Amino acid sequence: MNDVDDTIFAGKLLKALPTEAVSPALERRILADFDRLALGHREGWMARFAAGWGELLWPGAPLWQPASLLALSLVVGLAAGAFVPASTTASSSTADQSFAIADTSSVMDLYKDL
Amino acid sequence: MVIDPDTDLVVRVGKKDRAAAQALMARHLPAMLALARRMLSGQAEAEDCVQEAFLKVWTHAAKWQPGKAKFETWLYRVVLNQCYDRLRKKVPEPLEAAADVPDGAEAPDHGLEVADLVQEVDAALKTLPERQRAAVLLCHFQEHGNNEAAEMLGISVEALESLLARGRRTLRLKLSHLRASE
Repeated sequence: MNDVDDTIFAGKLLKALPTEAVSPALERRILADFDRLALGHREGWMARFAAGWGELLWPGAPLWQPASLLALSLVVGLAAGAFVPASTTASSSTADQSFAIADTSSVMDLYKDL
Repeated sequence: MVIDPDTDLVVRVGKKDRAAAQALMARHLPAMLALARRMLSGQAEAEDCVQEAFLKVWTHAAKWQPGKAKFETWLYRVVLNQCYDRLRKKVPEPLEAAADVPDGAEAPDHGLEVADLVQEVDAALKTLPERQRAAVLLCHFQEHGNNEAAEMLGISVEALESLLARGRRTLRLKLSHLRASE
Protein backbone atom coordinates (compact mmCIF):
# COMPACT_ATOMS: atom_id res chain seq x y z
CA MET A 1 0.00 0.00 0.00
CA ASN A 2 1.32 3.43 -0.90
CA ASP A 3 0.12 6.97 -1.29
CA VAL A 4 -1.18 6.33 -4.82
CA ASP A 5 -3.33 3.45 -3.54
CA ASP A 6 -4.64 5.65 -0.71
CA THR A 7 -5.52 8.35 -3.23
CA ILE A 8 -7.39 5.97 -5.51
CA PHE A 9 -9.18 4.37 -2.58
CA ALA A 10 -10.27 7.69 -1.05
CA GLY A 11 -11.28 9.02 -4.46
CA LYS A 12 -13.48 6.00 -5.22
CA LEU A 13 -15.19 6.06 -1.83
CA LEU A 14 -15.81 9.76 -1.57
CA LYS A 15 -16.98 10.22 -5.14
CA ALA A 16 -19.62 7.58 -4.40
CA LEU A 17 -21.07 9.63 -1.55
CA PRO A 18 -24.48 11.04 -2.41
CA THR A 19 -25.21 14.76 -2.43
CA GLU A 20 -28.41 15.64 -0.65
CA ALA A 21 -30.88 17.85 -2.51
CA VAL A 22 -31.35 21.38 -1.24
CA SER A 23 -34.71 21.69 0.45
CA PRO A 24 -37.04 24.49 -0.72
CA ALA A 25 -37.48 25.43 2.94
CA LEU A 26 -33.76 26.18 3.25
CA GLU A 27 -33.84 28.29 0.07
CA ARG A 28 -36.79 30.22 1.48
CA ARG A 29 -35.00 30.80 4.80
CA ILE A 30 -31.89 32.11 3.06
CA LEU A 31 -33.91 34.40 0.77
CA ALA A 32 -35.92 35.63 3.76
CA ASP A 33 -32.63 36.71 5.35
CA PHE A 34 -31.79 38.56 2.14
CA ASP A 35 -35.22 40.26 2.03
CA ARG A 36 -34.95 41.32 5.67
CA LEU A 37 -31.53 42.88 5.06
CA ALA A 38 -32.66 44.52 1.81
CA LEU A 39 -35.67 46.04 3.63
CA GLY A 40 -33.41 47.25 6.43
CA HIS A 41 -31.18 48.86 3.77
CA ARG A 42 -34.11 50.68 2.15
CA GLU A 43 -35.47 51.88 5.48
CA GLY A 44 -31.99 52.55 6.79
CA TRP A 45 -32.17 56.35 6.86
CA MET A 46 -35.50 56.32 8.76
CA ALA A 47 -34.19 53.85 11.28
CA ARG A 48 -31.01 55.88 11.72
CA PHE A 49 -33.09 59.07 12.20
CA ALA A 50 -35.30 57.40 14.82
CA ALA A 51 -32.30 55.88 16.54
CA GLY A 52 -30.60 59.29 16.63
CA TRP A 53 -33.59 60.88 18.36
CA GLY A 54 -33.89 57.90 20.69
CA GLU A 55 -30.25 58.27 21.68
CA LEU A 56 -30.74 61.98 22.31
CA LEU A 57 -33.81 61.45 24.49
CA TRP A 58 -32.67 58.38 26.36
CA PRO A 59 -28.99 57.55 25.77
CA GLY A 60 -28.07 53.89 25.75
CA ALA A 61 -31.65 52.61 25.82
CA PRO A 62 -33.24 50.53 23.08
CA LEU A 63 -35.44 52.51 20.70
CA TRP A 64 -38.72 51.10 22.07
CA GLN A 65 -38.17 52.76 25.46
CA PRO A 66 -38.15 56.41 24.30
CA ALA A 67 -40.82 55.52 21.73
CA SER A 68 -43.15 54.11 24.40
CA LEU A 69 -42.41 57.07 26.70
CA LEU A 70 -43.39 59.47 23.92
CA ALA A 71 -46.54 57.46 23.24
CA LEU A 72 -47.45 57.53 26.95
CA SER A 73 -46.86 61.28 27.06
CA LEU A 74 -49.16 61.69 24.09
CA VAL A 75 -51.93 59.68 25.79
CA VAL A 76 -51.57 61.67 29.04
CA GLY A 77 -51.62 64.91 27.04
CA LEU A 78 -54.75 63.92 25.13
CA ALA A 79 -56.48 62.81 28.33
CA ALA A 80 -55.60 66.08 30.01
CA GLY A 81 -56.83 67.97 26.97
CA ALA A 82 -60.12 66.16 27.15
CA PHE A 83 -60.77 66.62 30.91
CA VAL A 84 -59.03 69.78 32.12
CA PRO A 85 -61.22 72.30 30.18
CA ALA A 86 -64.36 70.68 31.65
CA SER A 87 -63.17 71.15 35.25
CA THR A 88 -62.12 74.78 34.55
CA THR A 89 -65.65 75.54 33.27
CA ALA A 90 -67.12 73.98 36.41
CA SER A 91 -65.02 76.09 38.80
CA SER A 92 -65.72 79.30 36.91
CA SER A 93 -69.46 78.62 37.00
CA THR A 94 -69.22 78.10 40.80
CA ALA A 95 -67.54 81.50 41.11
CA ASP A 96 -70.28 83.05 39.00
CA GLN A 97 -72.89 81.42 41.26
CA SER A 98 -71.28 82.88 44.43
CA PHE A 99 -71.28 86.32 42.88
CA ALA A 100 -74.91 85.85 41.97
CA ILE A 101 -75.80 84.84 45.56
CA ALA A 102 -73.93 87.81 46.96
CA ASP A 103 -75.85 90.06 44.64
CA THR A 104 -79.23 88.80 45.79
CA SER A 105 -81.35 91.17 47.81
CA SER A 106 -81.60 88.82 50.85
CA VAL A 107 -77.87 89.05 51.47
CA MET A 108 -77.70 92.72 50.75
CA ASP A 109 -80.60 93.26 53.16
CA LEU A 110 -78.39 92.21 56.12
CA TYR A 111 -76.13 95.17 55.55
CA LYS A 112 -78.70 97.79 54.63
CA ASP A 113 -78.88 99.23 58.15
CA LEU A 114 -75.13 99.56 58.62
CA MET B 1 -6.28 40.07 -11.42
CA VAL B 2 -8.58 37.13 -10.68
CA ILE B 3 -11.22 36.21 -13.26
CA ASP B 4 -14.31 35.46 -11.26
CA PRO B 5 -17.56 34.32 -12.89
CA ASP B 6 -19.50 35.48 -9.81
CA THR B 7 -18.34 39.11 -9.78
CA ASP B 8 -21.37 40.52 -11.56
CA LEU B 9 -23.81 38.65 -9.32
CA VAL B 10 -22.02 39.64 -6.12
CA VAL B 11 -21.99 43.31 -7.14
CA ARG B 12 -25.72 43.14 -7.89
CA VAL B 13 -26.38 41.41 -4.55
CA GLY B 14 -24.53 44.32 -2.92
CA LYS B 15 -27.14 46.60 -4.53
CA LYS B 16 -29.89 44.42 -3.02
CA ASP B 17 -30.93 42.76 -6.29
CA ARG B 18 -33.08 39.77 -5.26
CA ALA B 19 -32.78 37.96 -8.61
CA ALA B 20 -28.99 38.08 -8.32
CA ALA B 21 -29.19 36.72 -4.77
CA GLN B 22 -31.34 33.85 -6.03
CA ALA B 23 -28.94 33.11 -8.90
CA LEU B 24 -25.89 33.20 -6.62
CA MET B 25 -27.61 30.88 -4.18
CA ALA B 26 -28.63 28.44 -6.92
CA ARG B 27 -25.03 28.34 -8.16
CA HIS B 28 -23.31 27.69 -4.83
CA LEU B 29 -25.79 26.38 -2.28
CA PRO B 30 -25.74 22.68 -3.30
CA ALA B 31 -21.94 22.38 -3.04
CA MET B 32 -21.79 24.32 0.24
CA LEU B 33 -24.55 22.22 1.77
CA ALA B 34 -22.89 18.99 0.64
CA LEU B 35 -19.59 20.05 2.22
CA ALA B 36 -21.23 21.16 5.47
CA ARG B 37 -23.26 17.95 5.58
CA ARG B 38 -20.07 15.83 5.43
CA MET B 39 -18.17 18.07 7.85
CA LEU B 40 -20.94 18.14 10.46
CA SER B 41 -23.13 15.48 11.94
CA GLY B 42 -26.63 16.21 10.68
CA GLN B 43 -28.66 17.77 7.91
CA ALA B 44 -30.26 20.38 10.20
CA GLU B 45 -26.89 21.53 11.50
CA ALA B 46 -25.48 21.69 7.96
CA GLU B 47 -28.47 23.77 6.83
CA ASP B 48 -28.04 26.21 9.73
CA CYS B 49 -24.36 26.46 8.87
CA VAL B 50 -24.91 27.38 5.20
CA GLN B 51 -27.73 29.75 6.13
CA GLU B 52 -25.32 31.64 8.37
CA ALA B 53 -22.70 31.63 5.62
CA PHE B 54 -25.16 33.13 3.11
CA LEU B 55 -26.21 35.71 5.68
CA LYS B 56 -22.55 36.77 5.69
CA VAL B 57 -22.66 36.94 1.89
CA TRP B 58 -25.71 39.22 1.95
CA THR B 59 -24.13 41.40 4.62
CA HIS B 60 -20.70 41.73 3.01
CA ALA B 61 -21.65 41.81 -0.69
CA ALA B 62 -21.80 45.62 -0.79
CA LYS B 63 -18.19 45.79 0.40
CA TRP B 64 -16.97 43.14 -2.06
CA GLN B 65 -13.94 44.22 -4.08
CA PRO B 66 -13.97 42.57 -7.50
CA GLY B 67 -10.64 41.20 -8.73
CA LYS B 68 -9.14 40.75 -5.27
CA ALA B 69 -10.14 37.13 -4.62
CA LYS B 70 -12.53 34.60 -6.08
CA PHE B 71 -15.95 34.75 -4.50
CA GLU B 72 -16.25 30.95 -4.43
CA THR B 73 -12.96 30.62 -2.54
CA TRP B 74 -14.11 33.17 0.02
CA LEU B 75 -17.48 31.43 0.38
CA TYR B 76 -15.80 28.06 0.96
CA ARG B 77 -13.69 29.67 3.68
CA VAL B 78 -16.77 31.14 5.35
CA VAL B 79 -18.56 27.79 5.30
CA LEU B 80 -15.51 25.92 6.59
CA ASN B 81 -15.01 28.44 9.41
CA GLN B 82 -18.66 28.04 10.36
CA CYS B 83 -18.13 24.26 10.42
CA TYR B 84 -14.96 24.55 12.55
CA ASP B 85 -16.78 26.81 15.02
CA ARG B 86 -19.62 24.33 15.35
CA LEU B 87 -17.26 21.37 15.71
CA ARG B 88 -15.29 23.14 18.46
CA LYS B 89 -18.44 24.01 20.40
CA LYS B 90 -19.57 20.40 20.33
CA VAL B 91 -19.26 18.07 23.27
CA PRO B 92 -17.07 15.08 22.30
CA GLU B 93 -19.07 12.03 21.24
CA PRO B 94 -19.33 9.21 23.76
CA LEU B 95 -16.97 6.29 23.31
CA GLU B 96 -19.77 3.94 22.23
CA ALA B 97 -20.49 6.10 19.18
CA ALA B 98 -16.81 6.22 18.26
CA ALA B 99 -16.61 2.47 18.57
CA ASP B 100 -19.15 2.12 15.75
CA VAL B 101 -16.41 2.81 13.24
CA PRO B 102 -14.84 -0.46 12.15
CA ASP B 103 -11.07 -0.56 12.35
CA GLY B 104 -10.65 -2.81 9.34
CA ALA B 105 -9.43 -5.83 11.26
CA GLU B 106 -12.63 -7.71 10.70
CA ALA B 107 -13.89 -8.88 7.32
CA PRO B 108 -17.41 -7.45 7.01
CA ASP B 109 -20.46 -8.63 5.24
CA HIS B 110 -19.86 -8.32 1.51
CA GLY B 111 -23.43 -7.42 0.79
CA LEU B 112 -23.24 -3.95 2.24
CA GLU B 113 -26.14 -1.79 1.27
CA VAL B 114 -25.36 1.61 -0.18
CA ALA B 115 -26.83 3.31 2.89
CA ASP B 116 -24.56 1.28 5.15
CA LEU B 117 -21.57 2.15 2.99
CA VAL B 118 -22.40 5.86 3.16
CA GLN B 119 -22.83 5.60 6.90
CA GLU B 120 -19.48 3.86 7.30
CA VAL B 121 -17.65 6.37 5.15
CA ASP B 122 -19.32 9.21 7.02
CA ALA B 123 -18.37 7.70 10.36
CA ALA B 124 -14.77 7.24 9.21
CA LEU B 125 -14.66 10.84 7.99
CA LYS B 126 -15.86 12.03 11.39
CA THR B 127 -12.84 10.45 13.04
CA LEU B 128 -10.48 12.66 11.01
CA PRO B 129 -9.25 15.92 12.54
CA GLU B 130 -11.28 18.82 11.10
CA ARG B 131 -8.63 20.16 8.71
CA GLN B 132 -7.78 16.73 7.34
CA ARG B 133 -11.49 16.10 6.85
CA ALA B 134 -11.91 19.40 5.03
CA ALA B 135 -8.90 18.71 2.80
CA VAL B 136 -10.07 15.21 1.89
CA LEU B 137 -13.61 16.41 1.18
CA LEU B 138 -12.52 19.34 -0.96
CA CYS B 139 -10.16 17.24 -3.09
CA HIS B 140 -11.93 13.87 -3.30
CA PHE B 141 -15.61 14.57 -2.66
CA GLN B 142 -15.88 17.91 -4.42
CA GLU B 143 -12.95 17.25 -6.78
CA HIS B 144 -11.20 20.59 -6.48
CA GLY B 145 -7.57 20.84 -7.55
CA ASN B 146 -4.83 21.06 -4.93
CA ASN B 147 -4.10 24.75 -5.59
CA GLU B 148 -7.75 25.67 -5.32
CA ALA B 149 -8.32 23.59 -2.17
CA ALA B 150 -5.20 25.03 -0.53
CA GLU B 151 -6.53 28.53 -1.20
CA MET B 152 -9.92 27.60 0.24
CA LEU B 153 -8.26 26.31 3.39
CA GLY B 154 -5.88 29.26 3.53
CA ILE B 155 -2.76 27.05 3.61
CA SER B 156 0.14 26.21 1.28
CA VAL B 157 -0.13 23.42 -1.29
CA GLU B 158 2.55 21.46 0.62
CA ALA B 159 0.54 21.72 3.84
CA LEU B 160 -2.56 20.57 1.96
CA GLU B 161 -0.72 17.58 0.52
CA SER B 162 0.42 16.62 3.98
CA LEU B 163 -3.13 16.87 5.33
CA LEU B 164 -4.40 14.82 2.39
CA ALA B 165 -1.79 12.09 2.83
CA ARG B 166 -2.60 11.68 6.52
CA GLY B 167 -6.34 11.84 5.95
CA ARG B 168 -6.31 9.28 3.14
CA ARG B 169 -4.12 6.93 5.16
CA THR B 170 -6.49 7.05 8.14
CA LEU B 171 -9.49 6.50 5.90
CA ARG B 172 -7.88 3.50 4.25
CA LEU B 173 -7.04 1.99 7.63
CA LYS B 174 -10.56 2.57 8.94
CA LEU B 175 -12.25 1.30 5.80
CA SER B 176 -9.85 -1.33 4.50
CA HIS B 177 -12.53 -4.00 4.86
CA LEU B 178 -14.47 -2.23 2.09
CA ARG B 179 -11.56 -2.80 -0.27
CA ALA B 180 -12.07 -6.53 0.12
CA SER B 181 -15.72 -6.16 -0.81
CA GLU B 182 -15.05 -4.07 -3.97
